[in-house]
Amino acid sequence: MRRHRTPWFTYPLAVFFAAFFLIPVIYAVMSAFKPVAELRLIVPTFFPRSLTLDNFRSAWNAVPHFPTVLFNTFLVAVSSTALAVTINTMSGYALAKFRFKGDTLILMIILATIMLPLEVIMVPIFRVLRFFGMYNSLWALIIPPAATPAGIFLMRQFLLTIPNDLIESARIDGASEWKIFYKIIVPNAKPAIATIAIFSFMWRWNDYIWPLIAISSPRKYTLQLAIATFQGQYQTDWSSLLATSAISMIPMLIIFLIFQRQFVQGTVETGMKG
Amino acid sequence: MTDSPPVKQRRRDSYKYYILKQKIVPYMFLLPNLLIFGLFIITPAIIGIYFSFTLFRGLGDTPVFNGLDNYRTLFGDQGFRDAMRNTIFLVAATLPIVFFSSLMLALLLAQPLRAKAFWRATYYWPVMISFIVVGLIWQWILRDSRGLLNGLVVTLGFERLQTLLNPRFAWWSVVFVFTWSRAGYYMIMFLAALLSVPVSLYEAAEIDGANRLQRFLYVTYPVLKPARTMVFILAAMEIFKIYPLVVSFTAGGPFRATVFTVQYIYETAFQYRQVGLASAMSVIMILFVMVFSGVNMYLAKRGGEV
Amino acid sequence: MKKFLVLSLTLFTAFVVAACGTSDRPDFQMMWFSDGTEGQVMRELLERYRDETGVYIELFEIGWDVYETRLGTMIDGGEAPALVRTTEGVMNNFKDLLIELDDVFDTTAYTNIFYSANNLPLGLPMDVTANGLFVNTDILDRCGVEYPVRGDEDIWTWDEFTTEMDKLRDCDDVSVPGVFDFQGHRFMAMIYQQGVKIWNEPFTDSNLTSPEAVQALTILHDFYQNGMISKEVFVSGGAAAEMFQTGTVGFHMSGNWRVSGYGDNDFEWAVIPMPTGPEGHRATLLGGKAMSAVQGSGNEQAAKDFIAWLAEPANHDEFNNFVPFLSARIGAEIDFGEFQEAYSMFQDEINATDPAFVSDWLTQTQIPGMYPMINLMTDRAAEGVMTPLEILEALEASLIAAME
Repeated sequence: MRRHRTPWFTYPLAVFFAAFFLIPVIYAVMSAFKPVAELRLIVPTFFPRSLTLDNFRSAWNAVPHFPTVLFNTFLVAVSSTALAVTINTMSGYALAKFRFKGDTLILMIILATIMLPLEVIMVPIFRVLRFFGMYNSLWALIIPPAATPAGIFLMRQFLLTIPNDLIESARIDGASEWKIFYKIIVPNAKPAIATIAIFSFMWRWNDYIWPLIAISSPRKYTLQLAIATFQGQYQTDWSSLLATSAISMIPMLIIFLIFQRQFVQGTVETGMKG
Repeated sequence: MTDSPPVKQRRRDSYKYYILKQKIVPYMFLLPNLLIFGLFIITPAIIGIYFSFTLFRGLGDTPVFNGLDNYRTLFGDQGFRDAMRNTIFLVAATLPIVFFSSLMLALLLAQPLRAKAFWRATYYWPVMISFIVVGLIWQWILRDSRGLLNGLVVTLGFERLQTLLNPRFAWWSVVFVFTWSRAGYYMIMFLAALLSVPVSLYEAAEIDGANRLQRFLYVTYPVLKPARTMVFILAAMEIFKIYPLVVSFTAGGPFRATVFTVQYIYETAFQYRQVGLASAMSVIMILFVMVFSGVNMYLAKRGGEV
Repeated sequence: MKKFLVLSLTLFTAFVVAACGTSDRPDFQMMWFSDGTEGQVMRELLERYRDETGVYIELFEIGWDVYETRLGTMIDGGEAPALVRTTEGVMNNFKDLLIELDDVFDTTAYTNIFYSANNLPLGLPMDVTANGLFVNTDILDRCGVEYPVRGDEDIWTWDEFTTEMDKLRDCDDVSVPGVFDFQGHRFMAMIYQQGVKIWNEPFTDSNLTSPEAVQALTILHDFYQNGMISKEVFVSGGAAAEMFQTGTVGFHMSGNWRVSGYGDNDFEWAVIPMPTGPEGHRATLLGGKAMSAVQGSGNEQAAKDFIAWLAEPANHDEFNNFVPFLSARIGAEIDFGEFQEAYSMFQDEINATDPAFVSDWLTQTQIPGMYPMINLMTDRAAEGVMTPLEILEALEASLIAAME
């Protein structure tokens, strides 16, 4: 299947980058297991001298309804990702494969919203959410953020590489537009769909601003909202924050490992033959 | 959407109908997204633009229309100009580094490696860590006293380095830390595009006797064009709105050397309580970035194929 | 992919079921932020309140960074929380939106009350904060530094302080003689210690450029420039306390909110008198937190009822005893345990502060955006590019401009 050997420097390079990315992460994760006194040393330790679960315990105690909070975060991330994948793929397709009035303008506006500092317009967003009955509801964390600009842009740019003949020939065969979408576009866009799924899960999992605007009941908190409460006027509880962050990486890693399998060489070609 | 193949001419006006329908189709595909955008983002944004023409302190205060006052104030605001300039330099310095390092990582992982999932997950890992924690980790590594780097330097018997307290060192550290935390993110975008390059293209190139570099230059690089445009624009925007990372990494210091536009806007809005003025700053910033990405899109389009 | 869809559908169903199943609805809410464990203490108090009265008040916490923004958004959006934990800064910013607590509690029984324009309290004072000087006595004793302790008649001036602390520079195992919290209002007490008020005529005529104020900032400026205190707080807000906790720093200029956090330090430490100016003026800056009720929550009376309950000595003391805090209730018997001496020192600093300075500072806190302005001032002193006089002139101009 493979066409040529890898160059000799491939593995050394791969190992080098792995170290570059992993060492700080390992340092952070190990720090979450260090006793508070060890975190205070003037010359820090890399490997913990002694291990403790105290930081996890204090985080668990400081956040009311910790399991519910975890469940909420998971629920929001999964639901919003399912929605985002669907509507972003649809929009990306429209923007990549159709010429219509206002297409560039729509894309530019969508892109511009990436730059919008939501904190500055919290007040109007709050009113809109309340108007639609989404205040203090998890729906506010699922629906509005699902229309991710970066997701749409990603899908559009990816679909630009899919040959137009594929769509045209289907059209001549008399396929409906919807059928073209899910029989041709969706199968060919698998790597992009997987990418959006990975990103969207991560965005929602780490989302802070939407929960901050919309949620006020502790039973509906998400993880990031809970983490932010470690920060007080005079002091921040870094050890709890570190421990919670270490926990919060696990689901994102699992989702990544599931979806990265969709990156398979030569998808477009199989699409063409089939 | 109903089936209406034009070739069969089922209705008298079916061709016209088809053309009309084809005009509506893209809007139908866009509808769910645009609906959500329109309601939850664009509407508040328009209200936000209105704020930029008002004297507004936030916190239950009523906005009072004051015309272009905020814009006038803003152009005379040395702090805002400094923050904008600092940010533009940051984009100029960071964008090429992030762009090429993520492209290189993607090319590396597109090789037929063993344990692909492991390498991918490893490079992607920093992306999963929230900016606040990324900033914290690197502060623990780079800070002057108690930092891991200086700990190592002292253990090896050298003089302590002046690290984050040196404004220049702190500024370049932001470039470095941003790259560390985001290279994996843009790598995934490149990888998704890279792995959809039809194998037949390579095979054809190989038959033509192209070497590795030629294959990259004449096959891979052109095919990656849409992905390149995207990474370029998204990364530029992300660097432009850098803030949460800086807050926990250098807090904008030392001596405001790492204060960038968004931090300045937040300070104006929430510490100095000038929401109207901050809205005007946001408008200027968004216009600036829109022009930047508009020019890029235009250049990409003119280059053909997109 | 299919599995993912099935999974999300299942979760969706679970979600809908769970959403219908919530029966335990709170009567109203209290908004809160925490520096330590006090949120848990308040939650316990609220549970007891529910047992006694049947009223279910739900506490929700928001990080301090976005606390006021969030409160403003809720009030503006018509979802005002009935009760809110406030600081004097929050009360000032929201003074038109909080309920005036007329006849809710006995104002003569409390200190540090923040009043509205109608001279009615805007919150029930819960605890009092004050600036103070922490020292690592292990280091000071080892390096031969002589320092006054609580109760001494003759304490030190800033000159004497500087002379003594200079000894730490050449002492072994000292990474830096001292640290100051970065927040500028730790510094503002130094102006009072020089014997001047900030405002002669509020927001028009200040003493910020007087020789006394310049002298105060010069002390700080020189400390930063000659390495007496670390600049690291300017890249990390929490650095001062973290550095002191390494056990290699002689002194930390901070406040009483640090005391319980220093409980597990593995060295001997104490709170000692802050230095005075040449005239012997002592001064600390007062602040504190309060419990306020918000207008338009729909539960105004119930919120007032709770505050009245909280003002009962037993309940008020229970809160402050647990943390522990310096109580705002006059005559409160708080058991500070091992921290008794430290808290008494703060109480002494408060008692030794001229009431004229206290009211001058309260005036000062009414300037919107005052804190970032004075923070910028200490930032500039540490940077060392401008002279103290130039820095103070800039500060005076921006404070006056903010009130226009």
